[in-house]
Amino acid sequence: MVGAVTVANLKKELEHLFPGKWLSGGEVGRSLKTGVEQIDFGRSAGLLKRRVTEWVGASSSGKTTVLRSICANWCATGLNVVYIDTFDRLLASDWCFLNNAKDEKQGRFWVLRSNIDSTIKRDYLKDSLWACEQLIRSRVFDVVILDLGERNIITSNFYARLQRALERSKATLIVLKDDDSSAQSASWGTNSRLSFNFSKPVHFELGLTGHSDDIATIMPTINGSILRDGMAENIEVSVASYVQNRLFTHPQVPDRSTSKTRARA
Amino acid sequence: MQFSSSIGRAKVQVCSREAERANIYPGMTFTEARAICSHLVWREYDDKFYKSAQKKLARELIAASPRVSTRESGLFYIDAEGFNRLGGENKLCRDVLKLASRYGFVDGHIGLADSAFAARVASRSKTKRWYIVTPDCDTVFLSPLSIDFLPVEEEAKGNLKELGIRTIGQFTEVPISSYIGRFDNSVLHAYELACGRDNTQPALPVQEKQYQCTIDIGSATESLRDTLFIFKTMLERLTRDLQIDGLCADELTVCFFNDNDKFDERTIKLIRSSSNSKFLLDVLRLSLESKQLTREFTAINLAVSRFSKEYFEQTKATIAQSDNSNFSREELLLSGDDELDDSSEPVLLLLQRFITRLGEEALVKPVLNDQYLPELAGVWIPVVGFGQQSNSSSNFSSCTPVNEVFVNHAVLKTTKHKTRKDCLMPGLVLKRHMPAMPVFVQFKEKSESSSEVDKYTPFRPAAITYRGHWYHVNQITTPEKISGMWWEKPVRKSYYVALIEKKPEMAMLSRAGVKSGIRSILPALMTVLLVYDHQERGWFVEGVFD
Repeated sequence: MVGAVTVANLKKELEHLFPGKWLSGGEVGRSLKTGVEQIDFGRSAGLLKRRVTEWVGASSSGKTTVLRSICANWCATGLNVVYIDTFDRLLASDWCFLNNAKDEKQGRFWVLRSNIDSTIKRDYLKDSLWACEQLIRSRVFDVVILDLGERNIITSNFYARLQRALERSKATLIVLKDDDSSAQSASWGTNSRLSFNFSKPVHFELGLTGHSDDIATIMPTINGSILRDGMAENIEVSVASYVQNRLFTHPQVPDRSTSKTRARA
Repeated sequence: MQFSSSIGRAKVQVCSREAERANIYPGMTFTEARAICSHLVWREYDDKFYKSAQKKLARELIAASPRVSTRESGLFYIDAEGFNRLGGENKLCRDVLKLASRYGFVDGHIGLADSAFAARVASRSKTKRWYIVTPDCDTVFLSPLSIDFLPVEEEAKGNLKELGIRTIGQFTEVPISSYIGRFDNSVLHAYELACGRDNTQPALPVQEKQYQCTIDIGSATESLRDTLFIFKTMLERLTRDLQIDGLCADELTVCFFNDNDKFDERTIKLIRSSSNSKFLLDVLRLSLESKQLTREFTAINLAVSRFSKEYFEQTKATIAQSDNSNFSREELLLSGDDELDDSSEPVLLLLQRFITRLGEEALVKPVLNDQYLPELAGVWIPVVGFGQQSNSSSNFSSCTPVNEVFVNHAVLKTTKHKTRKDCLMPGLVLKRHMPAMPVFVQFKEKSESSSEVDKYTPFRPAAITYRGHWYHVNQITTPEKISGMWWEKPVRKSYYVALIEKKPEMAMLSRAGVKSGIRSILPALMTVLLVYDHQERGWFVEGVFD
């Protein structure tokens, strides 16, 4: 028995050194590949299914940008992703490309919004946590993303509930938090922690004139850090510049022309 | 209305006299019609709604005559036999029209004849509210009329007209044997009707079964557990009755009473009809949890306000390879559990829970919209009832499809540029501030840029405040100036993407800087969407790029 455990550990170590050769299909199936090399073949070896992963960074750190790219990869491979936007902060235009209705094999990307109305007293965080548990229990989605914003407080009791729900499902839960604390370990109940932040060098795309003051886009470098089993690893991801789709569109002008047969008053 | 991709472009096909009086005519788009008639409202056609209104009126018409039957929408057959001693047929017609007008149906017409077909034709009289055909003279009444009144296909009517048959009289003059083999059964049936032989008879109305339960507890209750126990008992009985009749509930209505005072009434729509008591109880529980009762109750009335016939569907069966790699084995999988099929059982149950607790517009998917403004360049469309529910269609109407040629061009243009390590999905993700956050802005002094004046950004911000901290604007883009929406709420904005860095020397001035010891979660380097609103004449941070 002890020998079997040692061999399994050895296999895991070798897998870190030579990815994709030592683990069997079943072991590989336990993790969810992201399509980002540094995450898939680094310390974390992807995101573990049926586990909670913390995805943290300060309020402007590039964490959601990286996550969106990964969601695009997941949807392209047929996985279903749901994003719980607790504080209605997402913009629909940023996420439209993830849903391609024409491709039947493509996974769905759905968003659960709180539809915050200041006139109605409701505990949006409580509703989000309830929805998160329901989404995991439904066994319909492969990835559930819970965006807690700056309210990054989940009790250990609720973490335990989510973990219990995850064990009976196939989903991976990603808890997205606005948090810049350089914690040396993941929160209680979480399997791994990925933290991100913007850093220099900052890349620019100049405008049509080519003048140094005519900047079209700004793209800082996104640095990341993977923390798992007490071991940390730094990563760097970069994002391509992007010209907004709306620049190619025109606003909808309503049809004000009235019927010629309209009777005069 | 003929529905196209958006409601605004849907065209009016037919309209009532009232609509014509309001200058609305067939061929207009919905937008045009609304421009003329401001209180025009879009409502989805609901067949059940019309049928229930017809049944309700039929129940009232029993007061005039005991035998009343309903047919197509708006058509009633009433037995008019034996009214000679009750004031005659004229009085009957007057009573029926009076009764119908009491319920809002003021433009009714009546035809009275020996056969149902002749009566139906007589009711189309344009000059009289009611038309009584002389007894035993149905054929005489029908013979001068056009064959357009016959219930036959347009093609058959055309053929008859080509043969020189233009009136019903000419149609019946020719023996039926001449039509056999040359025309289909509908013409033969019309021949029988034209001869006054119609078997349609009004019948005694069938009492429609109502599925509802009332429990009077006798004492005040407010405990959720007790309420659910009561609901369980009621639902078990109701679902048993529904199952016996082969029906499923589509909508539930629950009323809570405190003595005789009805203080709460809620209608719960089911996204899929069900006769499963466990599921229905779950839905009621969610409804109670999301909208709690204001006071304790003493009685409950639970009714199945809408129901439909139960239908059975074969579960999807697929053959899949077993996960066990040691030996190859095929497994029969029932129902596509892994697929996000909107009609699959787990998805429907999930959606029902979300609708009941969080509302119909909670679970959404992003769809591109043909608009300039960043906040309108995409819209959230509810996942539930896409094109079915009336509420969701109102949202969908605001969405204008984007020309995909431009989208593909944009994507190609951006994804082929793979210079750095991982070419992720291009662009940064914006997280909005709701509402936009007003900020103080310090402008660049002209002396700083000695000869080279910022001709691209003449009012270039040098520093801004963000949540009480002063930030130095490290880099800023040339503004994207957008104006428009003059037809709703005018918008004139200049959008800047700014890379801001914390300004340590100005921290003393900031509000948070005074309160030492409080850890800020704001990073040193941020990318924000800085907006100058020309209408409001103010600077705002509309969101941060995360």
